[in-house]
Amino acid sequence: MTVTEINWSEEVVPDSRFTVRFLPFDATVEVASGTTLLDAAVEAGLPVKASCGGRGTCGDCLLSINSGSYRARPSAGLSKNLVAQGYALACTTRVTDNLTVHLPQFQELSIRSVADSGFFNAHKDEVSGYYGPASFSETVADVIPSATDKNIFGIACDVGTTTVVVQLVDLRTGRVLSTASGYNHQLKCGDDIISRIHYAEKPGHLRELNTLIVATINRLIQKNLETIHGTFLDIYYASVSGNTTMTYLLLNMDPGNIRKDPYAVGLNRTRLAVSRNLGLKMNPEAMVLCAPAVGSYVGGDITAGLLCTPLLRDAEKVSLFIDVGTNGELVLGNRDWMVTCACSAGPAFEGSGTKCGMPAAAGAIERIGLDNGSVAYTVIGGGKPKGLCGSGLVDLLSGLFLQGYIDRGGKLSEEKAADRLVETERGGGFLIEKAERSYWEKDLVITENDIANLIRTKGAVFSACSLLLKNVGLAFENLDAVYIAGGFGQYLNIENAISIGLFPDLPRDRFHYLGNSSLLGAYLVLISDKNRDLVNETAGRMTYIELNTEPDYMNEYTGSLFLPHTDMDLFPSVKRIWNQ
Amino acid sequence: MALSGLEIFKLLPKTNCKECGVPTCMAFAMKLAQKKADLGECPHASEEARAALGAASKPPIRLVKIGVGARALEVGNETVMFRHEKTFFHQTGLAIRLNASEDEETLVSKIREIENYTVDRVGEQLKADLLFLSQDEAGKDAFLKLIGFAKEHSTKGVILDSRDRESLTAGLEILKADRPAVFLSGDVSDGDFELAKNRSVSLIITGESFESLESRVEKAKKAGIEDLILNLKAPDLGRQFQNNTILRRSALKKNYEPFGYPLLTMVEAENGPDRMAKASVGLCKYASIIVLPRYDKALLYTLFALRQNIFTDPQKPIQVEPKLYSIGDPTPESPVFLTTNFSLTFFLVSGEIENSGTSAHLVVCDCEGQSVLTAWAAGKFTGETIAKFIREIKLEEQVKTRRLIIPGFVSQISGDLEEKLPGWEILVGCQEAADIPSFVKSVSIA
Amino acid sequence: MGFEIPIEKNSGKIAEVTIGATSEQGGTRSNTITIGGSTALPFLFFEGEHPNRPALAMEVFDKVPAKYPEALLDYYRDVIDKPADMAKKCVEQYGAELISVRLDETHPEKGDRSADEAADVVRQVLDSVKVPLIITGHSHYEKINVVMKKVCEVTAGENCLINYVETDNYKTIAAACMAYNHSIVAQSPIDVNMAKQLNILLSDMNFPSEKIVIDPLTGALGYGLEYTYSIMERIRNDGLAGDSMLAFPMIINPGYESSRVKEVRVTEEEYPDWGDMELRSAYWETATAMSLLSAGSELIVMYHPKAMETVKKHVDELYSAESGN
Ligand code: SF4
Repeated sequence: MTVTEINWSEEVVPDSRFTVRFLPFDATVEVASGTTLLDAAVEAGLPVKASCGGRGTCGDCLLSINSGSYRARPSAGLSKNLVAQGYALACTTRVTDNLTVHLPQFQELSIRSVADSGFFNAHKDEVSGYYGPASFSETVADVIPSATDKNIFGIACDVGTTTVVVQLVDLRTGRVLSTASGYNHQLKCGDDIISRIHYAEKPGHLRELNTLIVATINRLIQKNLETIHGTFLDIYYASVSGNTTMTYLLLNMDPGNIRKDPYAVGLNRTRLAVSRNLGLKMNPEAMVLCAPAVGSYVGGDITAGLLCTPLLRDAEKVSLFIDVGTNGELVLGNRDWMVTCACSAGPAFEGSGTKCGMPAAAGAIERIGLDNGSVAYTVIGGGKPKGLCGSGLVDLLSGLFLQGYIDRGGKLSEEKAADRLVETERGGGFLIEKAERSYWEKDLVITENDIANLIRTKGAVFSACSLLLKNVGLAFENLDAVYIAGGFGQYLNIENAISIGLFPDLPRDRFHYLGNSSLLGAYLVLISDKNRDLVNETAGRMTYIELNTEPDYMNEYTGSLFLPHTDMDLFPSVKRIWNQ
Repeated sequence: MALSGLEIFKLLPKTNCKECGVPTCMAFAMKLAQKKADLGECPHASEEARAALGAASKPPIRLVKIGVGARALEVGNETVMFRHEKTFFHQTGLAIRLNASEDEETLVSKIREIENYTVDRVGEQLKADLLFLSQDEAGKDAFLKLIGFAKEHSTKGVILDSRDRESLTAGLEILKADRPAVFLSGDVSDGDFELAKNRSVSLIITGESFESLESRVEKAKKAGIEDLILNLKAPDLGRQFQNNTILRRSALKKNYEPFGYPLLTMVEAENGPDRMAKASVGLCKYASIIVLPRYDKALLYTLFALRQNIFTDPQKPIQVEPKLYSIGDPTPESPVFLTTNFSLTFFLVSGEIENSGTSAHLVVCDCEGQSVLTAWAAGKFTGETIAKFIREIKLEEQVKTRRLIIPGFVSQISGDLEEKLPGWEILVGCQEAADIPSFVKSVSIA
Repeated sequence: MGFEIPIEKNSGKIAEVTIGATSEQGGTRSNTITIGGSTALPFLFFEGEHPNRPALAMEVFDKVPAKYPEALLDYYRDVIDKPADMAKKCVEQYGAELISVRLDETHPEKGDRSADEAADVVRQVLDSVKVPLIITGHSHYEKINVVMKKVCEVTAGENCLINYVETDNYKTIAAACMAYNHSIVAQSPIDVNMAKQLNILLSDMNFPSEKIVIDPLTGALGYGLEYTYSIMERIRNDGLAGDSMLAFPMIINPGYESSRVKEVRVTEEEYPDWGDMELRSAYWETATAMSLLSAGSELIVMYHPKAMETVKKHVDELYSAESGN
């Protein structure tokens, strides 16, 4: 690797062409010499952002260069130290060679909540799904060899908009052999569901999205197989849970109708497909089963996820299931009835959508406390912080609010926050950590815009929750249990989540963390046909509510755009603290 | 008391058989709770369910009809005090008074003029609903003549205002097939009720006080008359405001049956603005019929607009007709703006373009009355749907400009739109309508 | 069963807000205007108190509005560009109980007049009439903050109604109002929650609650009136039901909003079905004002003298029920 740092101003003659390969997406483009990496990334369709407009000051477009030589201009957004480690800003780096480049925002993940199934492990006897020795359905019996000396593997797969997790399971024992996770390669076609659907509209794009998701899954299958030195021919069965759009795309079905008609689903029962038709790296005759969807934005990840809760068993109790991801999905009910809806929460708690946010991976602040001007935090994996993950953001917002650094609308108080008030490319913000003590050697800041984004996200979730309750005629106190699924995991501080108004103010022992219930649900569906029947039945009993057409939703929503809520009486325990 | 979704659900079979047309019993229960469905649609509902729901659903204010055919007026059946609680269902009928003492020629020409007066607003055809024919000081013949003119020259419903039973009997004979109403000022007796027997006639019962009104209604009910409209006289606007509120509240909140009928309010004032003020308050506060003392186009048009505002369903956005609108006096070279057909969006955008002082074309797409962002998210405001609409309205034949200004909120569709509309340049405008004037100033838009 | 008037008692009371200050109170006004104080829905005297009548203001300008309707110009042609004279005319001839001074020309895109110049205009009006003043700004945050600060300073002690702050820009102006003892208009975009949020924010900075007036944002008749109408009814219902953060009087602008619509500026020749323009322009403003009065407004800024006269007369008529049935 050679870095030429001199003479940026001297034009690079665009006389030759080079290829640039971006990892982890495996996207390759050919560009003329002298092109900036930012332009190359944009041409490759990658989600690289530059809030300063490519002037080299914001540091958003950071990447690391693994091989090849290039020409970089020193810039305010990047310290010497990082340059020495091979980091560069895409906007101030020109291509003069074939390059392999890594996008650190998308580094291979170890998403922490994956392994977290504490609730399930502690309540195996109470959850709705059957858990015990694996039992095969008749549909797959034909393809499974009877010989006992052969390996019989299955995979459970959680296909998320952002991340994908694949588990390799021994179908004889039900034992999980290996787990692998990674970014959904479709990310380069858009961050969220709507943009993927939109992307799929153009000719050829549906195929591309399909190929990308298949490739993502295959790569993770491969990783699992490498861990245990197995062969794909031994995989006979796959159980997939994903949101409606991801399932459509995996099955190569046009998702165009999804946003037009909430019920035009065609996925309301489990779908069975044969592996070779989908191009998955499994035994060609293997069966692939996708958990059913209820509506456009309530998919198999939710129906399968419910299997990991007691909700489907309870007769009298009323429970709420919340999955906070890029979309928030909620299910309210019990054995007899269920209502469900999805809200576009936005990815703020997932790490995108805020300047300082990041997924719950190494370097993320997962807990943070503010105390009269001082800030204390813990970083996943230790070391200097790179950003904040969802639970850290919840803590921070709660601290800012309860300590009076922001008003109830989320605006920074000039007096109170004075010595931590900083100006950034994206407006004023609150300084969390100084440059010299943060990993990227840049001030770690939460801006007013970030705060507004977090408030919108928590508001969308809370208002969806109160609307569901209103529609059936129940109040918050009627909730006997709240099950929280998704990336937060058990690192979320429930007290803080309530004080910002993300979750209702109920006795804390009613809240339970599920971890990645979509994956766990897929696993349950994989090991037993009882669960297959149950997930189907569940989908049939759920009533989908489209929030956009609910006249009261807007009112609930604007009421929730405040800390903790416009109506503080809904949060008596927060009110008590606030009044002190 | 209205039942909640969950309470209704508990009365349903819970089989999710879908025969009611929705996917689950719970979905059906929620529709019932919102009064958007009828229990009859579930073939499996138990007797118990029927009984429980039946009691909760009897309309507290009677529905009364005047007139026949397409122009019949229906009033009543209201369920709320405030439109935001649900909606006001039947908009106020506007009646215009004609006096039999006026000369025949004037009467005929007025009737004709009123008959022909219709005006379009936001895609709705608006018109006066009723003729209020007053015998006044005139004799029977003059009154019958007036009724005859109305029958001959008008299709509108008729209210007869007279205390002369002989005239009324003859008048009702003329209007036998027309379902008129009779305004009975003062006390009422069996003779009055005879008028309504064996005829489709509604009676308007008046009162000088709650007590007199109540006793007259009771008499009418005893005589078997149910199609009633109430008019409680008030010395001034303040008393009228209170009276109408009390009557409506008694009917809705107390289920007080004597007052479970639509209300009629008389507007009496010397000049136009006074009439306007009184009619506005009457329309907002519970008059199901307003009688105007004279025909005044400006007043009617203003009142139409108010009626449209107050009686739109607050849960459904009003739509404007999707088409190409001209703002100011645009030439073929004037700029072309684009928006959706949600009425408020349309009014804001067209208003601000006007305020900017520019003349322009405004393409208003059919987005089922949704605002820009909602429509975009629902796939109703995309490159494809917009391009299709622009071809449908043959925009290219009507303007020479080839530059389309799209709302700033949907900048992401610009690429797509450029592709789908070859030959057009797409310019991303501002996000808020209020910024249009400065946007227009900042770019040379033509 | 005999009839009984169904009375609904409310636990809440709308705040009473006084605008203006007499010489005893440290100002120069000949009288003050108090609005609010109701304990029942508008004009329902049988179940609560309405100690103060809705007040009627009229508006003058630092700059002649670009599209001022012809029908109005007939009344104001001689004074339209002289705010002090126009204010006098509004008070003396048309019965305005308050004067609103609209400072549009301070907007950077509309003339960028300086804060000092704006303060001058306000001073002139203050000198020419003795009624309390409303000072009306615009939405250019940086500029209006500077202008309002100055205006608050030069009118210190007059207890003007400073019109307006919004959620995204309230701190500077609210602080100035507190420092110089003025009242404030809290404007929110036709939304109950946002109205409440802004009031909470103001009260969190210890802004006195007897100095807040809500502007729910007026939609003219035919142009969003129904939203304003329902939001006002909801605000008032909640306020009376005991939500103190919504229990404030409300200001509306039928004059300004009506003056901008097509319906007051096209002639009968152009639109024969719309009837006489003179009448129509008065009707439009009257209907907007009267319907929003029914929904709970206490402070009404009018433009059209005929509409002003009509609304005033009918506020009195609506108050005739005060003496009981
Ligand atoms: S028809 Fe009746 S039983 Fe069948 S789903 Fe509908 S409500 Fe349930």
